[in-house]
Amino acid sequence: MFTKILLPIDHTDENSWKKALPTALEQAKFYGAELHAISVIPEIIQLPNLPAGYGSGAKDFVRDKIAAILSANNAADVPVHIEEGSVYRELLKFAHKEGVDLIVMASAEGDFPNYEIGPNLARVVRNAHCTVMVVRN
Amino acid sequence: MEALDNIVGAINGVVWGPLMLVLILGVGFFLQVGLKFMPILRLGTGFSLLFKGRSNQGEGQISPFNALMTSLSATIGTGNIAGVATAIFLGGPGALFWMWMTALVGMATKYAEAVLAVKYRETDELGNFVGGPMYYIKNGLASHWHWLGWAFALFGAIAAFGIGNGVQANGVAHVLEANFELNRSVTGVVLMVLTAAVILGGITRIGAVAGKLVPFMAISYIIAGLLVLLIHAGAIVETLELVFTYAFTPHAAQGGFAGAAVWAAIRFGVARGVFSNEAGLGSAPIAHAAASTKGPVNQGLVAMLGTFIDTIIVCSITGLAIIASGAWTSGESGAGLTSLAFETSLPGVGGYLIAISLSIFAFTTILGWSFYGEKCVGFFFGYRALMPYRILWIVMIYFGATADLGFIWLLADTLNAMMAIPNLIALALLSPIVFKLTREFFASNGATEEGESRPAE
Repeated sequence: MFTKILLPIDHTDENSWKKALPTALEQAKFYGAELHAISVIPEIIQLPNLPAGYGSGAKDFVRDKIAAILSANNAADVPVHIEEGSVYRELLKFAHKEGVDLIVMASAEGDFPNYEIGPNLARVVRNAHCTVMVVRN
Repeated sequence: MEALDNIVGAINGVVWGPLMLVLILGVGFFLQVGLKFMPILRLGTGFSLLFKGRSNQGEGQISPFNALMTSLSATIGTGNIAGVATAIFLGGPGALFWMWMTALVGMATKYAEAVLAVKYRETDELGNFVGGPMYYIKNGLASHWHWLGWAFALFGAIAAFGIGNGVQANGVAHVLEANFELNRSVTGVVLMVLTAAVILGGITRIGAVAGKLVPFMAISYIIAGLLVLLIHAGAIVETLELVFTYAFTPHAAQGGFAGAAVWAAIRFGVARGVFSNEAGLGSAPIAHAAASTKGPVNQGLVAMLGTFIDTIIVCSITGLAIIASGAWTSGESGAGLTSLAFETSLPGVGGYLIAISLSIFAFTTILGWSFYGEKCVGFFFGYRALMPYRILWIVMIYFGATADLGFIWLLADTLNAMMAIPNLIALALLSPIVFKLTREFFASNGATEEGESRPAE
């Protein structure tokens, strides 16, 4: 039913992969689909007062962090994609461009009732062209 | 508005009182003595480091010329043009003397800031170097001092809107109105759009182009300033007499100049001096922490040059041009005064040169300070909290451009003092570390920092 699954991971938030990664792996195995991990980082602006190339290593840095998370959870062969910009916009863009048919995304750790669906997740759910699975913690 | 003016004025009176001046000059002097006047004596070492260039991660060497240009771009701004003019307008010729004093002790302050910034920097969630006063307080001082770091980051995030945003936008609006009769609101909107394109739209090309223009504008400005001084060469000795005399004696009203007490000369000289060279403010170390450098002392030696070039060279040119040309008794203030000094000496070119260079300096300063503000906000909330700050940053540009000149400078001064206080206390407390690193560096002829070259992530 699904052929390409996308799992957004925030390397600073354990919540984003702890339960969502095993879930996504299981889905991928069940459907024989390929699983892709993605992380969106803010754009690093080259300003005149900063050394040339400041922030040029950020993508690789985050890629390594995500790869470490994946291999620690028996998913070392999952390809990692790093995009820059607004989180939900880049996720949707990537999913559309790459023909993703299922997005697996963790809900946030909410302190208030009904606040587990953060602004990025809400926008992904609302605007995605494919199925979105929200993994509740 | 008047009530707000009074409130800010009252706070200003307290934070810019004698205590503050003692703190700025005192801490600087203490560091200068503790370093055995090394920053002044080793000025040549700093320049040679700059000219040797610094290796940059994977992209080979930055040429010495580029290194000098980058350093110039970061240092020269509205403070050198408009700031000096307001200092002389309010404090008289003697203010220039007190500006020099802030630079002489400020070289030690700036050196210490950069040394500590590199020594105690961290790697953020995206693998970039982050540092600055909040980090050297957090990583260098015992936990009961950590509130100083919080205070710095809080005031820094707010103060950025003054010195790095409102004053800059105001300066541009003022000078474009004076020279091209451009409506201030129009200037405000144009600046907002350009800034938004860079920090929200990611169109970094605009920032890069502006950054490339800065060194050329800086050099044109310095050459034009020297020409103005050359034209008034006969008045130079008299000008220097004025500067030294009225640094210690009150000046009576003369022409459009309202007169100034010695206290005003000190207060405005020091305030605008610090505004221009940023020594003690705590902003520059945030940028120095981002550098890929051999080590703390190497970065410190390059950093202290900034203060020297900024105040001893560029501010002096502006100040002497204003006094020597006689423009200072005209009743003009701010960029308008500098503009007048240049225009009367170099008719047809002077005013436009000031208008254009000020606009470019101010624009890159607005971009640069957005980084400082962001790092202060990031200290509290991490890298995900930057977007709202960037949006607020852009909105404030318009208010800065259309606000009253006097009020916006008053507000900026007040906020600057509030971020400088925690930083200066931290510098005094951490001074033994600075002295130790410096001693070891020079005792080993720089060998202490040869092995620890780390590429920036």
